[in-house]
Amino acid sequence: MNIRGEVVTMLGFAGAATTLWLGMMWAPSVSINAFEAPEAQRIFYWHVPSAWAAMISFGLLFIGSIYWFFKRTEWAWRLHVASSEAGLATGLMCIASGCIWGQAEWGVPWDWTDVRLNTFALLTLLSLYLVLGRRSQPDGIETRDTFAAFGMYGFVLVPITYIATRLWQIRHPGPVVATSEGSLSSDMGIVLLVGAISFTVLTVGYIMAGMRLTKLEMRLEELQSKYEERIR
Amino acid sequence: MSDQTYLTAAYICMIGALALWTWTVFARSNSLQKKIDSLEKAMELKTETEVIVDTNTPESVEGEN
Repeated sequence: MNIRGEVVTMLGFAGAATTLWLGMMWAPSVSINAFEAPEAQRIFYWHVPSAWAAMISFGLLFIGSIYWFFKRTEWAWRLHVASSEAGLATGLMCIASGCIWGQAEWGVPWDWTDVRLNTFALLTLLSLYLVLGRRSQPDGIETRDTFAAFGMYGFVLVPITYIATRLWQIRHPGPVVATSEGSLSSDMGIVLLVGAISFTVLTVGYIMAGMRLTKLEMRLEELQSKYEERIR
Repeated sequence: MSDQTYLTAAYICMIGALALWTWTVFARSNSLQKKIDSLEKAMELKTETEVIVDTNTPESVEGEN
């Protein structure tokens, strides 16, 4: 039995748990004057890596969708399915951690006027639609084409989400990594790096396990139809 | 609620949610694998039964004579 995806997922999960522990116990505290809720800022070590992992998933969703649409290859469809599920998991994790921080820091969990928040939520909703839609519709070329089209066009939101805080910074904090305005200490940077690597491994594991899962679903469907033919 | 307690509760909920999601992926995979194995076994048994039935039909007995 091929369980490489499960092993990679477990490694990523262990890394994500380590990131939580490091963020809570080891990372330095921030200046109490800079934040309303300085302790809640530690959620950043979970929030940023999960957003990063979600973006990787949405990128792979785009690749899977475009390949399915133009090449009709099975692996591309399996990549589309697996990355939409991974995008949903990591996207929800990012939104949940953001809401928790927003409630502590801003006093409200969500700001409907902030572009970054809303475009990211739309991307996660797109994943939700793809996951639920695929489970409720019979599999077929037309169904796959429809979902692949959503996967392709939905990707437009990825660059918009990325540049949103640079163009229209409303409430969501601006970039602190790979920017001249960055203000991360080296210890904070290490925890963030551990988080980014862990969540990348986790999302790759989810996608590998998800692709195998889709393969198993297809195999089961094929066997069931063969079995039904035989007993007729 | 103090900041530290709030953060701890949030962390526990989030790691719990991630663990649940991971477990769901593994459980779905195991359940599908079991279904496939049992279906393959059933199909093999059916093929064997068909062969046994075939050798005992009157036509095959007549053919031997």
